[in-house]
Amino acid sequence: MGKANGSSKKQKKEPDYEQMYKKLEESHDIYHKFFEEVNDAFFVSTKDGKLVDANKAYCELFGVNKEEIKKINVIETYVNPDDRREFLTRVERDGLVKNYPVKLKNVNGREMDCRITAVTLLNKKEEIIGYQGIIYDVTEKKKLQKELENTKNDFQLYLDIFVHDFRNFISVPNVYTSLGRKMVEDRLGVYEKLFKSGDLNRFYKVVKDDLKKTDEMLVNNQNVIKKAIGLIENIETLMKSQHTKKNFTKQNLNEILNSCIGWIKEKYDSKIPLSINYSGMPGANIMADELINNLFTNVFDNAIKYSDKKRTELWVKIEDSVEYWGVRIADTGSGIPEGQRGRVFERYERLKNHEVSGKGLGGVLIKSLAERYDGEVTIEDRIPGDYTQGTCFIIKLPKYTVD
Amino acid sequence: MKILIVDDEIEICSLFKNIIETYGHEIKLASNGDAALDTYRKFRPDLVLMDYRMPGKDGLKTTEEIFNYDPEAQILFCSADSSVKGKAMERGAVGFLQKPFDLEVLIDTIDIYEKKKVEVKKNQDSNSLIADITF
Repeated sequence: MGKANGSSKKQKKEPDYEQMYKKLEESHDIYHKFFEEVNDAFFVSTKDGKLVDANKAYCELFGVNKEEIKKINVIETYVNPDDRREFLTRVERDGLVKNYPVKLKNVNGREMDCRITAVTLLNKKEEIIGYQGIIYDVTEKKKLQKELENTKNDFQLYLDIFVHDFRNFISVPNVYTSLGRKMVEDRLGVYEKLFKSGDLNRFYKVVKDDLKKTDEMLVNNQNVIKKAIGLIENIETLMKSQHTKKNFTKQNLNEILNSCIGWIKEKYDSKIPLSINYSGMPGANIMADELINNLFTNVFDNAIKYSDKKRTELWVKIEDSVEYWGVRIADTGSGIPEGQRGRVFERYERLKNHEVSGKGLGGVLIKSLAERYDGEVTIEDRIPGDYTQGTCFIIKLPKYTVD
Repeated sequence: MKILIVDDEIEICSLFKNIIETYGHEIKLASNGDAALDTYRKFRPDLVLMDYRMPGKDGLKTTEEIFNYDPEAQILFCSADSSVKGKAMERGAVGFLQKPFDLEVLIDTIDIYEKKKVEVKKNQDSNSLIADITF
């Protein structure tokens, strides 16, 4: 018996192209909505860097509008074009690069710390025709990380100062107070005996020697207390320079320097022969607040501290340096060899290197204050090529402009 | 006893000098590592009071250099930084005096090393006597 013809094979169903097209369109809409609305900057570029597409977040990040993106070549967004070459080498080698760190810039030239995650786009022949990726702007995150790290280091620094320097300072009055009390106990009997013996010359000599010794102890106590107070003041200024709001007003550099010179002369004049040669410049104005005085008094203080005590001579001069006023403060101190100059301003140097004596906050403070006013501080030899003839601090502060 | 004090703080040096000299010891001062080594060679002290943090070489490096010159050196560390105690003892320091210290502690510490020195001297003398008899 034969099989019935025709009806044993199932009829192949025709695809529902309309439905498929609708689904594809929906999927494209979802993707495009996601592409457009997501907070991270998406981009699609050709191999030679022309932008094919970019989302709203990308436009915001780089300061462009949607119409302008096709005119952009991504190479122009790299601060260092070599970084793009390195990035492409990696993405082409691995097909995918995650969180590649790079410095990019927007249309106004504002530099940003970014991370790029990207893949290669291939044609049917598996050839690279472009790149697609996401850019994360981590500038703020990096800034916060740096601030956190600095806060942690500051805590370590202040802890180190309290633990080390103040213990050192306290040693002196601690021992001298005990010694003074011991002297009072021991010497009363000696004085009584001598006084009763009637040998007033001997009595007078013993009392005089004891008073001399006591005075020496008190002077030493006073010196360490002064050092401790100086350190507390430096810590306070350092904290203020970093954490107080910058309410700057127009100030005259001549007036500031004259006032600082007057203050330093009053502080040292009776103790050491001090000569300050000042060459000012009228109309040298800057934007600053009251902390600016600490910047110069600290430079003067440092210069005097490390100068020959028999005669200290300072030269202070204001120079016109295009957008800046340069203040040169030269001394006749023992000088700083070139290799050690960076250490003078390095805030955490004492935490890393115990060949740095504890008290060294002066340089740190000078740098911190100069930076507060968007300035900078550098060190040169007073006589070029011979550091032993003294040091010259150069403080550059931005000129006051009406803008 | 001959004592060398190594400290960059002038007031600390002066403090040690004032106290220790009262007890009849001979004192020399050095404010950094290089000066300490130089003074050690010339002065040959019985005891060195060594600070840790100093400009130039720190106390540990200075200790190593003194030991290279004289392995029998008696070095007593004296620092505000207690974390250095272990390292100082590893390098061969005979003790550690934590700043700030009390007057009595300083006097007692110097006293201990003076007695130790007398003891060592006694042993050396009796050994040389035995050697003489044997000879």
